[in-house]
Amino acid sequence: MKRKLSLLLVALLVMAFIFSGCSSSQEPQEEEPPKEIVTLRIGAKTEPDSTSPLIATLSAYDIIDNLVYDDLIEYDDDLNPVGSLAESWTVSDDGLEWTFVLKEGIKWFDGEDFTADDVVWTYNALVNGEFPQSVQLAGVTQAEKVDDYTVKVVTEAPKADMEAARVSILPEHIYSEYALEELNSFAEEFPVGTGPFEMVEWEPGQFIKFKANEDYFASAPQIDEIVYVFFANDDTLTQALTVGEVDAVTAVATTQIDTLKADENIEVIQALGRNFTQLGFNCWEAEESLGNPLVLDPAIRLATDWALDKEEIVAIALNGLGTPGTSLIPPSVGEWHWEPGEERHSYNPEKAREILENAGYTDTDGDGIREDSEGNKLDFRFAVISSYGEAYVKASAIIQKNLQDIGINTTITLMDGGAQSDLIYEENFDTDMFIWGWGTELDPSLKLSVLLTEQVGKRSDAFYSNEAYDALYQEQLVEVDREKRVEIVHEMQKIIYEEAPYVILYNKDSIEAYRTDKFEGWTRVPSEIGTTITQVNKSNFLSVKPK
Amino acid sequence: MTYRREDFELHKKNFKNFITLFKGNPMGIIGFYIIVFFLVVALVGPILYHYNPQDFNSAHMIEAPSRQFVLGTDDMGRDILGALIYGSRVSLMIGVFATLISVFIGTLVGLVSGFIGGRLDSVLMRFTDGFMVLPKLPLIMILAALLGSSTRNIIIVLGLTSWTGTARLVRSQTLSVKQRAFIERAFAVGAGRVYIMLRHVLPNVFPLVFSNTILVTATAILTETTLSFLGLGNPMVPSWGQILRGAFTSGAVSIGAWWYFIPAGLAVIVLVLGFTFLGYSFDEILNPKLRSR
Amino acid sequence: MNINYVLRKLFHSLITVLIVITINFFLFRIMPGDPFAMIAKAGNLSAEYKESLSALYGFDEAFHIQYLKYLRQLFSFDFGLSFKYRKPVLEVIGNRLVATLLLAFFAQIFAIVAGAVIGTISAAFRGRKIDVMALGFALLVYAIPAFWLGIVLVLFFSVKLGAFPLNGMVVAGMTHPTTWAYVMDVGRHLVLPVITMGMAIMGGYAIIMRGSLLDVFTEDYITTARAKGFKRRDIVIHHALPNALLPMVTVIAINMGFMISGAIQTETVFSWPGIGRLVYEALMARDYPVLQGAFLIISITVILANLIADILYGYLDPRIKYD
Repeated sequence: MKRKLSLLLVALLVMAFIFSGCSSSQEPQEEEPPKEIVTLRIGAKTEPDSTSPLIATLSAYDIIDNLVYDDLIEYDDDLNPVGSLAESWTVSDDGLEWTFVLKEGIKWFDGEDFTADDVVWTYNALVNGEFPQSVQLAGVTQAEKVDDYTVKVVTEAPKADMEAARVSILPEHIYSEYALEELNSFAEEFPVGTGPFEMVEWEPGQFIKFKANEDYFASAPQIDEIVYVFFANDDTLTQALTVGEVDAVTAVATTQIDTLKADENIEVIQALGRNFTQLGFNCWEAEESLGNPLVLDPAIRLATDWALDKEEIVAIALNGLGTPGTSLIPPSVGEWHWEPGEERHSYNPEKAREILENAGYTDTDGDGIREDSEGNKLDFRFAVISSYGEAYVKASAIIQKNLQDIGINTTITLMDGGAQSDLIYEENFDTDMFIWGWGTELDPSLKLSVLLTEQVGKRSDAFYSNEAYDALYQEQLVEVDREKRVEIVHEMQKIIYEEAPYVILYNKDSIEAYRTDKFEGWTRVPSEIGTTITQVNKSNFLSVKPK
Repeated sequence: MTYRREDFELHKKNFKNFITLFKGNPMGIIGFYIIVFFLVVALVGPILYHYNPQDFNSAHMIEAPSRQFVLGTDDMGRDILGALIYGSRVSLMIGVFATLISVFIGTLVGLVSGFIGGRLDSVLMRFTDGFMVLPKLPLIMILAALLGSSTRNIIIVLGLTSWTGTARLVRSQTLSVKQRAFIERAFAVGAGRVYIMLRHVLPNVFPLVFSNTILVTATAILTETTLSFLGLGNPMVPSWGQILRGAFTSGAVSIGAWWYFIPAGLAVIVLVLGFTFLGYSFDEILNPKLRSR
Repeated sequence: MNINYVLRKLFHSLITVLIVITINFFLFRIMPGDPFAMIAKAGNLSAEYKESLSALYGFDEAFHIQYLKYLRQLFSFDFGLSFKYRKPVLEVIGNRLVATLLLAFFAQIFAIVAGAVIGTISAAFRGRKIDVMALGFALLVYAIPAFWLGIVLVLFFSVKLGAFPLNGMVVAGMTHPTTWAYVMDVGRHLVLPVITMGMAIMGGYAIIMRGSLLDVFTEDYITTARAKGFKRRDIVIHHALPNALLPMVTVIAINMGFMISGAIQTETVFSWPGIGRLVYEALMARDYPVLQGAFLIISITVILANLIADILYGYLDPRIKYD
């Protein structure tokens, strides 16, 4: 008996040995003696989903994209387009041909020269295939090589947002070996780019390490390494900053902002976010729509807008870290945003009731819920995604209360993002209201296109249709005169504001924080008001340096 | 066959015997009182203590206990004591109903499997084994995501995934009851199988099922809490798990807002402990093998 | 050792594996969310793109064909492609396996030792105050939600005292000068998660230990030993304990499934980069191939552990009849 037990013990010990063997096999190689390597550690919540811009769709991928790749054109610190890989560019008089002259002497990480071939391959791949960034090149028919450092890009109509196209130029000498459909699953382990930092290690679920590219064509980075560390939640992320395990974070637990602000070694950055969250309505007029036809009446949607206490929603759902929403394009993108001065629908339940009353919805049977003339109750199904964090759920609870107040009943069903997509796209839009959100670009076209008639069943999640709106969209798309274009874009937002297929609930702030005791030279983009770590350009990573 | 007087006397004697033994079991007594306490809170609390889950208030978010809010407020400015009182209702309800489903399935499978025997038995038991090894929490998480997280669905999911232990237990007990003389006698008199199963086997299996039920309830409550914490519960219903999730996601832990997660955590622990104590002591009393020691 | 016994157990395990595979297959075919939208994470897909994805992921075939294909793939250890990472599922899971094994191994050691000690003390002093306390403690530990314990430990030891790191497995991205420094770093990160997960499974062990010791106490040879005048201490440690440890072997195996529950909670609270957190993340991202793969691997591990326990048990305990 005893002997058998000791056998068991030995077996256990062997197992222990194997396990410890496993773990030690993971240990990093001792590459170089630890001379003063300056490492900037950044804490983030979401990990990129891929190393390839042709695969990745999570915004977390921008971590890699911004450090590793360059575009032809980038934004300067005041959001004006400037050349990055492109030295200069011109557009033909008819607005259909763009010619880019490329910078010479730029090398890929593996030593190959960067040339026109890379640009041509990347642009054509995006145009001919269907990749997440393809939408940036909507309207482009093809790219042609003129000489080694000149590229011609042809469009079918003038493309007002050409300078805003965010396209990471990929190395043709690596990618051209694959067929377009293979690129749906091909990703380099460590992408070869031209950017200021090279990715050298990715421990999934833990961190990604980048090494400085001393030969970066704009200017050499002033730190040796950047490590992005991934945390499962805001809370631990914030704590890591407080104790100094990381030097900066791209999100902050909202309850801890005051504590962080009080810390003299920590700087909290609060910037207007480029996003919006909407209460959307099922505006699908087609026969097969399973939505409640009552929400097709703009009066009801408009009344909802007046009934919502958006200040309270921002205060509770976002802990005050946001702006009550108005129009489709958020204030953070500057002049494209339309602000509804006097016509603003601010919290006013009385006005909301009046609108409903005038449109013929009254509560005749005294149950607190209004009916139309035929006795159909204003009783709506409300789909709420619960898998995207707490804000949607909290907001929906307040919305329910606000609508109850004006005699509209809602039944909230919580579901995950996939289920809601199914409901809208696969099951004939089997709900009446929903909450969802969008991130927005610096150029307004893409977000304006969401509510186009042609996007019903595609990117549109309200299935809204308005001919005047559609026409204005085409007009702004080819309007190269910026001032005129701004005007059209404002006009479009006004339509949406009054018709309310989307009631914009809020624009969420971007919150970041960094430690000031080890590094200096942090840059905000746009200057003064923008973010530091998550940026539209690379300024911060070139300017930040050890103290 | 009629219900004979001797049977009744026997049951009565057993019951008296049980009560005497139970009174001498301090753990069981504690468990009993804990459960009674929470039952009273769940039944009477909401009547005596006003709480409206729609009382959002941005002016009182995550506030420390005060005269107005005895146990402080949550991240939507609501009273935590009220949420705890309402939560006891939700937690108990989910625990009890999930257990009913689970015990029903488990008893049915175990009884049929053990009593009928043969090929049906091995098929049912293979299936039970297959189900038993499925990793519980991931399975429950997947099902909850699949069905959507209403309270009703959570109850169904918990019920559907926790019957295997009961089935095994009932089966082995049925097998031993089946050997007894009175079953043979019943067969001899020509009683039907279903009749014997319900009339003779079930009552004899029941005591063990009962103590098992109590333990299953404890697990169900614990699992519901975990599920809510992981974000797969129904956030519109104020359960204890939701309070804990709120505390975790709102960062209350790192600012030391103890009132947000300590009382709710303790409530879960004490209630689960109550059920465990009671179930464990029942097991000791009813399981003759354990008692004889 | 009877070969028939082993073969029969093996056969049963195989059937169980098949049942699990089948349940697994059907469970994931009925999940919500258009798989195309999931993969592409966008709504506007052209028919051609959908087709190419269909072929890539094999959605374009009839149900039963898909099932057979699935079986064939499994036999060649092909678990498909992760929606989220676009990498083979096995690779994604493999990346996380070591972390969980490490955590689980030490949590098990902690739980077995603590459970055995508490159970033994409880049984040795059966009926006395110390028994009630030890048993009560074991039941209390069982009643504590693992995630809650983790949070409280973090609050106390990391936030308030700063004694242990908050989360993760190593100080992220650090280059360790020596292997020893690396081991120490992991060790420091391991303490709180191990306690959290260990506590979650310890209660059960203590109760089983107590029960099986009490069982052994009624055996004849213990009575004999007692009659011979051996000290109680000696009887417990030298005579009863070795035999009482037997049922623990089975329980540890059965507990594998339960451990996963502990792992999911612990790894979520501590951002531990293991399978548990992967399961949680995959569920949140609706990465079904990864979920399915993880689910299957976990189940098969549990079945294997049970099989080994059965055989070991038969080997160690001569009283088992090999019929």
